Amino acid sequence: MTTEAELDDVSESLLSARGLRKRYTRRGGWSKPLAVQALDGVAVEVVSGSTVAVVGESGSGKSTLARCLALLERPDSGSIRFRGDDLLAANRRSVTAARRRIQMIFQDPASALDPRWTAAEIVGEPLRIRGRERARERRRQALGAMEQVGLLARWADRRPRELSGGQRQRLAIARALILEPEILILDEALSALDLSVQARIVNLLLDLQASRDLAYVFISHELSMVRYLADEVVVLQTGKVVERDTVAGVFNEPRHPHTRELLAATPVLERAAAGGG
Amino acid sequence: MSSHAACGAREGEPEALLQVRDLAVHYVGAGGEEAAVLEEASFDLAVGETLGVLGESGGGKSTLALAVLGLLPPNGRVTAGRVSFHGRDLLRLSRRDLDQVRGDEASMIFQEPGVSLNPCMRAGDQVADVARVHRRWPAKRCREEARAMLELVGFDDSDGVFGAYPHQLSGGQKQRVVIAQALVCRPALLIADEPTASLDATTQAEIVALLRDLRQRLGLAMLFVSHDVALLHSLVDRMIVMYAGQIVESGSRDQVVLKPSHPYTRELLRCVPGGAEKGVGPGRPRLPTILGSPPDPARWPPGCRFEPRCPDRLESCGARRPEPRPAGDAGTVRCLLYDD
Repeated sequence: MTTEAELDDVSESLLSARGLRKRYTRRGGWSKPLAVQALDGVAVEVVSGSTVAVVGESGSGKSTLARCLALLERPDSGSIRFRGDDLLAANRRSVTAARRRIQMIFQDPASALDPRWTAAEIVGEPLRIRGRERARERRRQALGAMEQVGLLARWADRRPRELSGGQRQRLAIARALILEPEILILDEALSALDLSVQARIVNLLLDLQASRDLAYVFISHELSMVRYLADEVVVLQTGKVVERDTVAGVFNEPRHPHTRELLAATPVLERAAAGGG
Repeated sequence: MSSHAACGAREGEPEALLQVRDLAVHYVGAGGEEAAVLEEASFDLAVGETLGVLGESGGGKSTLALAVLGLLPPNGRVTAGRVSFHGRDLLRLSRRDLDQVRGDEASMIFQEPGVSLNPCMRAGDQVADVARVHRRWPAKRCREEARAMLELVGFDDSDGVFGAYPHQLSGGQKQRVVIAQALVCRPALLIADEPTASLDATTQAEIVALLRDLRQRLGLAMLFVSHDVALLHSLVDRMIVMYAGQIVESGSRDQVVLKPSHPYTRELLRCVPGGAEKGVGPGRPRLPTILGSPPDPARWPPGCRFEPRCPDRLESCGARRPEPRPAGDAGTVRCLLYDD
């Protein structure tokens, strides 16, 4: 397992979080409102062009970590450095600039897309907010981003409900790509998709990573997909990193009991000895 | 096999608990157009057996599960077929008689346990209510049964859960309460439509272990609908695979997963990432995919419904409809490659 001290030696890191803490007050349960330490000193290192997977049970802090790394949520303490700049100490301008470089994709594309807008408007929205290009140029770029994720130009004027689940997720990816980010944070982004659609989105993510040197933070409970996509795996349990290793290390020689528990809980598809490709 | 070559039906065996024959369902769209979303669905389920229904969205697996217990939405209608349960045809029962079967002899659980529970009622009362409606026991007895059931589904602190409102429970706990509700009258059949899809992996494993245990203890037969091949393979005895409103393959779980007959089943299984790392970095090989997308239910292809996407298609596949054929060990396949 890599300790936090060892992590500090990584020099080519793009995004580097240290000692992240975040506390929520949760209502419900049998007793009174409960303070939950969602993140309790978490460190993550994201290197250009690579994929870090974050796994753990629900309540382990996966999504809070994703939201903190995407700068949608401010941790109570800790640091998040993007190319060396401490974003939690930085002024608003540099945070806005960094936010464009770090984009997030959510589980349910239907609720992440405005149902009244057309595909091209949705994809072009980040450009509109940035306010540099005129409408015609925005549309041209939006169509370019759609093409990159395999959406046809003739679908530009369709609304989300006229697209399938896989197409909607592609649309969300196109919107995330239009500001040319360096990191995509994928919070269960494949979970709502059918198997055959998942496979295509995975291939798209790999193609984009190869052509743009994109880094992914891949949050998922689907361990078979994690094993396929990730270079490094971070295992969270109640807000703490309990194991951090290469994908082969975590899956072949899990060291922490909780990692073994997670692996044991997931049914693995047995295959014919002859193998189907 | 007779002309009624039923997918999954095994002839010459004692009568099944549930026998579905040639079930067909139409949905009516907003513009009044009809879509045949389920067609010629036939299968048997024996006492105490677990049958998995595998497929992707739009394949018809939820429609099949809902139609069996007469739970289709208002725009859905059974247009043909027979569903015999304990020897009675459920499709021909009055609403009143059907209500006596549902929740008593046969129950159903869904993906979102939160939606199945009344937010303003204590969990224990919701379980007791099912017993009260069906058994008309005195209130005290209903509460006792509910408490015993809550213990059976794994709550150590059954008093605590009994008095809890749904919002005070986690997703896994809610699903356990729903299971207690479904089983409090000791049904012979449980239909489960993706009951673990909204739960995280460890909770999912707990719920699956619970269902496995209850199946043993209560002699329960299950129809388990899921898109998760690995999960189904770990739980069920037999499996049916659905594509575009038809059962395209059926057989023992090993046969379907390890020696799939239908090209769709085979291609679908290839989309599941394998058990080992495929190299590091963006250069790792791409996953196999299925070309194209499923057909529109309002315009099914005239021949085999998988033909437009099938890598093994023959010239005749586009025009001729395949019928279910026996395949492997007591299984069936709906594919012209297996025609003599």
